[in-house]
Amino acid sequence: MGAGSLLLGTGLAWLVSAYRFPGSSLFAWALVLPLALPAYVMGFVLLGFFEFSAWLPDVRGWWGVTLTMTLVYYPYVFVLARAAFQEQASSLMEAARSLGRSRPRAFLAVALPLARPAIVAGAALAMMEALADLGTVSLFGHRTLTETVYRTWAGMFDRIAATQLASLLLVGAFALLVIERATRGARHFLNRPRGGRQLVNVTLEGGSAVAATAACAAVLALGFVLPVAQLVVWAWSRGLAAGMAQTFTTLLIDTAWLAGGAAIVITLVGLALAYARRLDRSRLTQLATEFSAMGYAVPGAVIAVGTLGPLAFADRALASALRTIGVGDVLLTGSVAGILFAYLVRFLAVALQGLDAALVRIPRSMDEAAQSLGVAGRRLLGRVHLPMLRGSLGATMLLLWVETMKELPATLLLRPIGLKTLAIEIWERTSESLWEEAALPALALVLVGLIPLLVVTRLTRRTSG
Amino acid sequence: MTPQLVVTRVGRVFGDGEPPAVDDLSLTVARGEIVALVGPSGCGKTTTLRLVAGFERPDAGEIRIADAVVAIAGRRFVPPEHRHVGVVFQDFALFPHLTAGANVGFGLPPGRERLTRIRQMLDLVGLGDAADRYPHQLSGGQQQRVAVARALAPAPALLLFDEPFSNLDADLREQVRAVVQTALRATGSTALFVTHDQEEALELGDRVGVMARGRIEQLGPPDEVYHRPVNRFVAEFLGAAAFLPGVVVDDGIRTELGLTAHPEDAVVGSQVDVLVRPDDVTISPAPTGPGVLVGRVFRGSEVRYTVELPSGLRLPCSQASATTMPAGTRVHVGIALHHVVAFPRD
Amino acid sequence: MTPWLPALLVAVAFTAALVSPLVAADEVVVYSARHYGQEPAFEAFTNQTGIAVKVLTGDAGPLFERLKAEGGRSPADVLLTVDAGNLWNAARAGLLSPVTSTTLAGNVPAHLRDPENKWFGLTVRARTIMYSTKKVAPAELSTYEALGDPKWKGRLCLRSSGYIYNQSLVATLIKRHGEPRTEAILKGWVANDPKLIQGDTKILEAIAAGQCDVGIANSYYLARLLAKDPNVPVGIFWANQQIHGTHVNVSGAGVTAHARNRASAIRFLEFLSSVEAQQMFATQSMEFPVNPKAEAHPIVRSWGSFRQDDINVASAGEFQAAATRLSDRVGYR
Repeated sequence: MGAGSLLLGTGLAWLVSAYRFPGSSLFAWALVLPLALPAYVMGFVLLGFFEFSAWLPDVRGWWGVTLTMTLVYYPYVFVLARAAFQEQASSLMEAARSLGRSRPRAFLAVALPLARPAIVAGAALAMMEALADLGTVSLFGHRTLTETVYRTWAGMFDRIAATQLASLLLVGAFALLVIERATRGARHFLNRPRGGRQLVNVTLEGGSAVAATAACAAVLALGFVLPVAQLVVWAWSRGLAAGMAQTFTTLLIDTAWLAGGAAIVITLVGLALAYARRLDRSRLTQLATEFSAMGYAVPGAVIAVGTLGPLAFADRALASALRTIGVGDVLLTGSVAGILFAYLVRFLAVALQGLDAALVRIPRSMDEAAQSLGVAGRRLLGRVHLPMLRGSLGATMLLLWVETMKELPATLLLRPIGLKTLAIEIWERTSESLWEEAALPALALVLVGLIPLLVVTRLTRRTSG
Repeated sequence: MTPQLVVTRVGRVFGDGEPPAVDDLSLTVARGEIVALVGPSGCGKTTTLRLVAGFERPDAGEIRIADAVVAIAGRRFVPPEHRHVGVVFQDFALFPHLTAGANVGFGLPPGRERLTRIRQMLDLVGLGDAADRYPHQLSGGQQQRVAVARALAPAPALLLFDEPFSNLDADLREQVRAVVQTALRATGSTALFVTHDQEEALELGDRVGVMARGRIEQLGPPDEVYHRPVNRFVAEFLGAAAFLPGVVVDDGIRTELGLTAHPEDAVVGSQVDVLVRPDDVTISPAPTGPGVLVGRVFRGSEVRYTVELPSGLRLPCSQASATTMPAGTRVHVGIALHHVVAFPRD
Repeated sequence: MTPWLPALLVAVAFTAALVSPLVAADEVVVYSARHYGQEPAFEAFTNQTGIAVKVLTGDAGPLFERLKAEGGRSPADVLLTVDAGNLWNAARAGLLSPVTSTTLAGNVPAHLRDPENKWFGLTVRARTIMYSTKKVAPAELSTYEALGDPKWKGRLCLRSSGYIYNQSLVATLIKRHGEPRTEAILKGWVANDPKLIQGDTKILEAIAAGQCDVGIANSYYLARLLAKDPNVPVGIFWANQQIHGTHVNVSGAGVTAHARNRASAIRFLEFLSSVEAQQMFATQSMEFPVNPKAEAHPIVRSWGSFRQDDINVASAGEFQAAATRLSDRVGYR
């Protein structure tokens, strides 16, 4: 899966970055669309799609999982690789060619190695997401490490063993990034010196243009158009009216509300941490914030189980505290607060990364200018940083909103009684093989997932154009 | 003189309705010669260079490098990797993932001689000890020198420099320029420079071509283009210049500051503007003198004054800085022209 | 007053709004790892008694874990799950409490409930042999063991051994035949290169599509398929009729160890075992009712009666670990 995403993502990114062919500008952003489909949705669509297939190979096998995951996760590599290719000064490619390398060889010798950190980061992201994704795997019934963790714990009721396995998983994901960083050595990859112009597109003609268009179209069709079409057909076949019943509205509202709360809380905590990093450059702070972001690499199921312990502990502490002051008994476990905590652990990295990057872009001279004008401390945050961060804060919240909306295992385990989200509805239906009934909530989730993609695409266009 | 680069009536248009970036341009560079193309931004100098390098295709004309036809508009196009040209980019374009040595060796065939050649090239630019360092560990000037070494390493038929020093600080620029010049001479390379800095062009080029609107306005040795510009644009672009109105008479040109020597091919009785450079103007303090100093810029070894004449015309004037005069001083003004260049008044 | 105090108060108020208050209302809170077909029965209970039923769904393992973490302060009154092995595990983990009820004892046959009365089966499903009516004559079939006969080589579809219903099937086989013979049975299956398919419905579809000729699946999946399309070319065969009877499993429920509304919870279970509720289960999910007085769905009835293996379903839990070990040993994945 990792290799598949790597090849597909990098190849397509190079195609749309370096060449022009019919539809290339459309594909440049449309190829990101599969990101809007959660893997468990993609999984059940493919399953349902090939349901009565005597002639097609068995999608439920190893390659079914691989195909699904590749189609769902290649955009991570695609997006990062494309950005990296775009950032490369065209003079580098030109230099390579004037030194006697043909275009394909220059790509291998220069463009590809330069984009390596981005590509590896994309692949690592894709792999972490894939590892973290329990839904797909349990649908296809194929074992991955995540599933093994989950089964060890669910099947053998052995929380310790599960925790050990989960730690192993974390170490693996971490090692991948460390290895990448170590092999970088002293090299630098920031390679857009002042005034460099962007890669010049080469226009493809004839057969190669048709092939390029066809390749992109095929991936887009498999990864997005066909699954969505299938969902629409299913939703339609059940009757939109039936699906749009009041329960569905409640479902939508509950989902949006829960994810919204999570987005706000996580963004605020993320902002506080990112700000702490800026103010205090000590190793401890840096390390602590790095560490707090690691939850992103941990499967939701593991997070869910992991948070149960602290929550139960907090519950016991809270109970005795409340008893002494004579207030009624409450539970954190199975409360919205509990879920928010789990989301925080899982998605803090998203907020931290986005806001950290945004804060870094505000030069320190800006702080100093403000201070020389008599604005400092908390007012500096309010009057200088927050206004400058507004865009990033909005984007981060949006991203978190969608991510938490799609989250399944932690929500499933920790939610309060009676609370249901779109993801849970989909899980309940698909676990009974009721594909048609899962179609409408799945469509809703896909639509919501499209929002940040469109916004981000528009933002990047504005900054580059 | 064997030509190493021959550009014949080359044209390049980027968009419909846009004026051509390069317009019917012809240029010949002899083997071992260094030619500098200079002009304001947008004059087509960089496009010319990219056409020669093979990064752009000409819409008209023909390009030959070392007797090989590398481009004929619409018919023949040799890709850059087969042209044997070395290019030094404005942004240096060093591969950040390779060491200095590997950068220099990038265009060399593998083999025993590769290492020797890398060493030789780095020594040539005075960076013999930097082979194992990565570009970001080098200073700007060092990066530039590695870029030159890289371009020189495969012994290209022609070297192309695209604004090579514009990313360097002023003092560093001098230094690197000297290194580059020495390296070029030592290897007997043929080179085409492109720059917007007239001083750089005058200093580097065996010949200097001044470009505007896709054409070469004038091409010649530095002193010729500086002292005998063919038009006002060239005159003004290559250095501070003022134009003193006058009338051509039998024995010279009569101006506000007296009679000048006789220009070549001027029609007696015609109205002309005489080109005056700062070093052509002499001043001496005189309480009753006709000129007034209205501006003064101290430049270390010299002082650049602005003198206002009774007619209101202002002339630049450079003087040794040993003695200075305050603004407002009245002065006598004289001109001592070595070459009289006059342009007919429109 | 510092400027932080209002912010703190807001934070506290905000948090207070997000925690779940523990109030002992007259309601039954059900943690359910069974996701299908129980809603009408729950509604009927509320209509009759006025006691509200709140449900939290989830996978069995995570639900148990949550219940454990919540401990004595859990809001759950009833734990409902599929598979006797799950129920047995929950009981052993101390999550359930024994219930003495003559109603339940009367409605639920002895082999379908916990000997210690900590849980009670509510619906019954037979895990038996499914075959292609186009390619297989029922006379060719007999026992689970016989599926290891070389004539089924390449024609057999199974789910993976880790699948809970298969674990329970293997566990009861161990209880019936002992480990050595069960090992021989599994070896026979594995030797036939079974196609491993995830999902009982998928197995039935695979048989219908001709990808395999025989398989093992739960009875109600076929009933649901037939309800959609009566012409599906898949038949059901009652295994082991000549010996101990066909392996059955249950979905069932128990009252939690720390139930806040214990009386209502017992009433709830009693109602679910009543003929009225059993009828609803049978119609909705097409399982067999546990209560012998209730009638199965017409499609299920059309299959005729069969002999159930009357070994206590609790053995599914007792021999679960042994079943996993055995499967791993013979290479049944």
